[in-house]
Amino acid sequence: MGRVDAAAGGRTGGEVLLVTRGLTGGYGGVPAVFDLDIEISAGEVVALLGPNGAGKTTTLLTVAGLLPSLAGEISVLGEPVGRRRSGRAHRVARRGLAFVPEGTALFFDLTVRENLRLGFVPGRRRADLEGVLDRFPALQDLLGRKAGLLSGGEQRMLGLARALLSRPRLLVLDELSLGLAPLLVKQLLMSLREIADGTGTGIMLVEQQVSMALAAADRAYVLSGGRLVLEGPATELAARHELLETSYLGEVAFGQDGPEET
Amino acid sequence: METFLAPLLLGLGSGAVYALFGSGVVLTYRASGVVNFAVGAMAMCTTFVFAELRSSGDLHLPVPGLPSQIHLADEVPFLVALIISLAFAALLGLVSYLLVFRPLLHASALAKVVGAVGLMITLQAFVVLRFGSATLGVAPILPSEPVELLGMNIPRDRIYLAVLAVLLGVGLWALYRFTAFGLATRASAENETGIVLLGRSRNLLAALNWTLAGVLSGAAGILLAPLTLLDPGTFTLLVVPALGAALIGRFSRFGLTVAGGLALGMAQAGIIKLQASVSWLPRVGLREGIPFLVILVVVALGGRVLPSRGAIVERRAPQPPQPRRVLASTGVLVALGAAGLFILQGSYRAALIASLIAALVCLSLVVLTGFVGQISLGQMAFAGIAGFALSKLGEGVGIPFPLAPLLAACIAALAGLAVGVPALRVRGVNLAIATLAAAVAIEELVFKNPDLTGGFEGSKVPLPHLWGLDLSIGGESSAAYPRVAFGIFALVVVALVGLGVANLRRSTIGRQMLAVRANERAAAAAGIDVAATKLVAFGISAFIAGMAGAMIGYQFSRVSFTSFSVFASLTFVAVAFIGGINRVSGALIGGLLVANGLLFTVLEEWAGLGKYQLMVSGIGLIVAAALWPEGIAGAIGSGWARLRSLIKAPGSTVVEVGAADDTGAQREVQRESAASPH
Repeated sequence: MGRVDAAAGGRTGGEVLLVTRGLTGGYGGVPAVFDLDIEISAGEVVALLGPNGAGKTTTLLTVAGLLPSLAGEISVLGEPVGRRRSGRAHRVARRGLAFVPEGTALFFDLTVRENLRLGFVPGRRRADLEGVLDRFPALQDLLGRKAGLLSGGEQRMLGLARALLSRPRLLVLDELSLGLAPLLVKQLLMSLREIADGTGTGIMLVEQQVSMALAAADRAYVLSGGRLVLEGPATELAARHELLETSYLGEVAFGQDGPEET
Repeated sequence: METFLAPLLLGLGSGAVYALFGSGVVLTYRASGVVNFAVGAMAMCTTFVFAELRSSGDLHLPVPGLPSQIHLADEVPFLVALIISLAFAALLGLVSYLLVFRPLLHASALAKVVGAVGLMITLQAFVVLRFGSATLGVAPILPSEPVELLGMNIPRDRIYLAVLAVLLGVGLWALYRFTAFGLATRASAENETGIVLLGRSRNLLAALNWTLAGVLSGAAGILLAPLTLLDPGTFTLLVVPALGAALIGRFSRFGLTVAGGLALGMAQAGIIKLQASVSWLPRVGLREGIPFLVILVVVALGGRVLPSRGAIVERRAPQPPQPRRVLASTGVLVALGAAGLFILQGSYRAALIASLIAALVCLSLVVLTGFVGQISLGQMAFAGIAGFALSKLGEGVGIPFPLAPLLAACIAALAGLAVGVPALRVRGVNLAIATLAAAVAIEELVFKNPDLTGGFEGSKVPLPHLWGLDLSIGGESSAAYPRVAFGIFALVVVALVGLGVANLRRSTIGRQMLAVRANERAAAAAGIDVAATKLVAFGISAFIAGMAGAMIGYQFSRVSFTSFSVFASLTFVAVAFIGGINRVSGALIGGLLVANGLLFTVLEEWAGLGKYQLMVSGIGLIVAAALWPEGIAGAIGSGWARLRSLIKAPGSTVVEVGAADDTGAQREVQRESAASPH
C-alpha cells in the first residue's frame, strides 16, 4: 500500500473507534475486498475513496455488520464484531455506530417526525431533537410530511439528522451526496466537519466528489480492485493529485499489489 | 327489508371472527412479509386444545417426547382453559415464526408462500392425527339470549362479538400508531435494513408480532367454535375469508380489515337468506363464493395490493435448468416405468399408476410456477373441470375416447386462460391468494353442486377404448384391477407431456417464460409480450392439469369432487415443490410422494406409516422451502454436478459460487465449465 506520509495519522490522539486488521469481505463467500487495515479515531473525518467497484460500499457494509466478514478482524468501539450475520447490525448500532447507507434507508411511508423518532436507538443516550433540527432548519417545517415526498437533498438531510439523534460515536456514510448539487455537497461535508470537531464523533465517508471530500477530511484511504492502494493525510493527497489519478484510472502503474512501500 | 336485516346482523358473529383472523394476517405480514396461509390452521389447533380442556380436562401437548396429554382436572373452569389455550396460541405463533418463517426471511416470494402452505398442511395433519376429523363441539362462551334490536331478535353474542372486533381493531390501530413497538414494526415492514441500522432487532420485532398474531387467531377460533359446526377442513380454510378481510385492509390497515371482516360475514349471512328466496341461484356454495368475489375484485382491480418490502436480501426463485439428454432419459424412465407396471401387482401397481397421474399434475405446476413463477394454489380446479367435462362429453354427448379427454383438457385450458386474464394484473403472493380463493369457490359452487356433478356419488366416466384395445383400469371384469394396459396408457401420457415440458424449456417461448419470471419489466423492455407469455403458460398448465383430471376420471371410472378439493391442490403444490418445481425430473419425484403414490404405499404396507403422508409432506415442504428451494431433484442435480466436477478435474478446486444462493443458472455454468475439456 502506498503511504503518502510516514506520519499518516492526521489528528490522531483521540480514542480509536474502528480498527480492521486483514479484513476480507464479500458476498455469498466470494470476496470483494481483501486484507484491509483501517483505523479511525474519535474526532476524525476519514474519506474512503476509489473508482467504481473498488469495494468501498462492501467495506462499509461489513463494518456496519450487514455483511459477514470472510477473514480478518473488525473491532468497533472496542468490541469485536462477530462473523455471523444474524443480529449483528443492530448490536453494532446500539454500541454507537450509525450507518447511513446509500439511499439513506428512510421509511418513505412514515412521516419525517416518525423517522426521526426511530433515530432514538434503544440503549443509547438520546440527542436533543431541537438541537439536531437546528442544524437542518429545512426539516423543521416538514415534520408532518411523509419521507417519501421529500426532495433528494431533504432526504439526505433527514438521513443524517436521524443518524445523529442516537449520539453516534462513529458515523459511517455511504455517498451521502449522491445526486446532490455540488453546493449542497459542500455544505453537507462542512457540517460533518463541524460535527466531528464539536462532538468528537469519528466519521468515515465514501464520497465520489474527491476534492470536496479531501477538503473536509483529515485522512483518506484509497481502494482499488478491493485492496487499499493509498493512504495518507487529506491535504497531502489533495496536493499530490497524480497519485490519486493513477489509482482511479489504472492499476498498470502499480500492478496488482499497489506501489512499493516507500 | 327487515327480513334481510336480521340475517345481516346474524352475520356479525362470523364477521367478527374474520376480522380477528384478518388482523392476525395483517400483523404477521407487517412483521415478517409473510402471508400467513396457516392462520386458520393455527386457530384450529388452539381451539382443539381449548375444546379438549373444557370437555375432558385434558391438556393435549403436540410436543414429541412429552406425554401426549395431561389430565389437569375433571372440570377446568372457563377462564383457566382460556388462559392456557391462549398461552398455547402465543407459543404456537412464536414457534411458527422461529421454525418456519425466520429461516425464510431472505427467501423468494414463492418459498414464503410454500412455507406457509407447509405449516398449514402440517397443522392440519397434526390435528387430524390427534383428534380425528370429527366436527368440533364447544359450549357457548358468550351469553346468547336474544336481544331486541331494530324490532328483531338477535342473539346477544353476535353483538358482543362485533363490539369486541371493533374494540380490537381500535386497540391494534393505536398500538401500531402510537407505541415505539408499533412504529418500529411499521418501519420494518417497509425497510428491514433501515430498522436494523437503527438498533432494533428485526427478529425480536417479528417474534413479538407473531406471538400476538397467534393469540389473536387463537382467540378468534375459540370464539368462532360455538357459533357454527367446525371440522378441521373448514377450519383451515377460514384463511380464505381472513385473507379477504386482510386484502380489504390492504395488508396494512387494521380499521379497514375489521370493517372488511364484518362486511364479509354479513354478506355471507345475507346471501344465504337470498339463496332461500331466489329460485335461480345455485343451491350450494354461494356463501363460500363471497370471499372469492371480494378477493378477485380487490386483487384484480386494486393493482398493487400488498405493500412491497425492502428486504435486506431477497433470494430469487431457483432458475429452471436446461434439460439434458432428454430422449435418452425419457427412454430409460419409460422402460423402468413399464417394467414396474409389469412386475408390480395389486396395490403397488395401483400406487405406481397414481404416482404417474400425480406427476402430470406436478408437471402442470412446473410450467406455471417453475417456468413463469406464477404461484397457483388451485391447480386441481382445472383438473376437476376437465374431469367433469370428460364425464359430460363421453357419457353425456357420446364423444369417443381419444377425442373426449383431449377436448376436456382443452376446456380446462380455456378455464386456465379465463383465470389467466385477471391474473395478468396479479403476481406473486396475490396470485396465490386469488387462486386459493378461486379453488374454494369452484369447489363449493360447481364441484359440490349435485345438479352439475352428481355430488358425493360423482359422475360416470366412459371406459377408454382405442382401436379395439381396452385401456381401462378395471376392464369389463374387475378381477384384473389394476390392469397393466391402463398403466401403460398413463405412462405414455406422462412421457409425452414430460417431453413436451422439457422441450418447452428449451424453446423460444420457454426462454421468454424464464425472462418473465426473472423480471417482468426487463422482459417487456427486451420485446417480450409479458401478458401473452403468461397467458400461454396458464393455458398450457391448465391443459396438462386437465389431462391429469381426465386420467383421474379413468383411474376411478368416475369423477367426484373429493378428488379435486382445495386440499388436493395444496398437497400437490407440496409434493411438486419437494420434488423440485423447476424441472421435469422434480415433477416425477413429486408424483412418487403423493398420499396414494408409490413411496407411501410401500411405507404403509411395510410399516403402517401411510397415515403420516400429510404430516411428512407438510414438514417436508417447510424444510424444502428453507433449505432446498429446488427440491429433491435439485439437490440430486447439484450433488451429481459436484461429483462429476470432482471426477473430471481432480486437481482443480471446485469454486463454490455461494452455497447459500447457489442458483440453477450458476450451477449450469459450473456444470458446463466442468464438462468442457480444460
